[in-house]
Amino acid sequence: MTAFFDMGGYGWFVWSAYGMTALVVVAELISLGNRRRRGIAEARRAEPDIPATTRSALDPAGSA
Amino acid sequence: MPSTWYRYASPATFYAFAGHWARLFALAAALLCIAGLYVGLLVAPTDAQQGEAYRIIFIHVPAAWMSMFIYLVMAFWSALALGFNTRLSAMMAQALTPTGALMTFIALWTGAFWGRPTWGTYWAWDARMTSELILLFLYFGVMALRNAIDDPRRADRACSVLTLVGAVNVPIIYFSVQWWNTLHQGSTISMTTAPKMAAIMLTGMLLMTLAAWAYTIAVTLVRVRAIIVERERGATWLSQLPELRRMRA
Repeated sequence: MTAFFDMGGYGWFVWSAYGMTALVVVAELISLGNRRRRGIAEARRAEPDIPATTRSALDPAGSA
Repeated sequence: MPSTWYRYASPATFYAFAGHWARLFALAAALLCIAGLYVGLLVAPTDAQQGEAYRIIFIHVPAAWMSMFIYLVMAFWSALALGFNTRLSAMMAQALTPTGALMTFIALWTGAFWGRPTWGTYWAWDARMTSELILLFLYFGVMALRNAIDDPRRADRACSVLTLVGAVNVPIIYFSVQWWNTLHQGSTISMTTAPKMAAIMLTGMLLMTLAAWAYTIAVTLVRVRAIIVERERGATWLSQLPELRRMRA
């Protein structure tokens, strides 16, 4: 087990590479989850004020 | 062009489609990553020249390939967005950018930690590394440009133009090891010659490459759904989604 982490003396290089990769991948997944939750919460808050009749295919948000 | 393609160009249709496929690709990414790490770290033997340091290849090469490939896919969607003025194409380009930046960063970082034990330096201003660093700045530039423009449709056009102009950098990265005399080695894998690697090492690298593909597809589909929710706010179909209705009760 120690030999595995030592990587024949290259442990610092190998685990720095693998560790940083794991770190940024996890960071991306967390920030993506937050972005989705935030978007849903904001859409829920912003949504009921536009009557459906003012929307059109060109202006789906009815913002014109 | 068959009408089904137009159907999927509608964010409302694509939203459900993307959610379905994101789950499948996320599962595939997890399984391929476990298999790739198992082969790469436990099964593949020690390299005769580089010792254990070579194991960085199992992340470095897939990430470097993805960093260039994602940019080309982003340029493809940008060209469609400019040519056909389709919202969803621009959203796809927008969804790919952060993951492209992530792959570029991983390629540079793992390259540095591979370069130190094999070449004696973390960094050199060599053609391959410098052009890859420019790729990272291009991804950041596209993201910054989008944040700087309030109107999403104007941001779509500006980002598409910048992406297409920057695409000239991708062949420069790819061919840099042939065009210049660089510190970076030439391609390990080539379409035209037999691989210069042991079969088991190649297997680990291909598993990790497939994992990176599946990860990129899954994350991009989840992100494009988040972008659709952000940008289609107020649309009737969006307010009727179960995830929006459930929380209002």
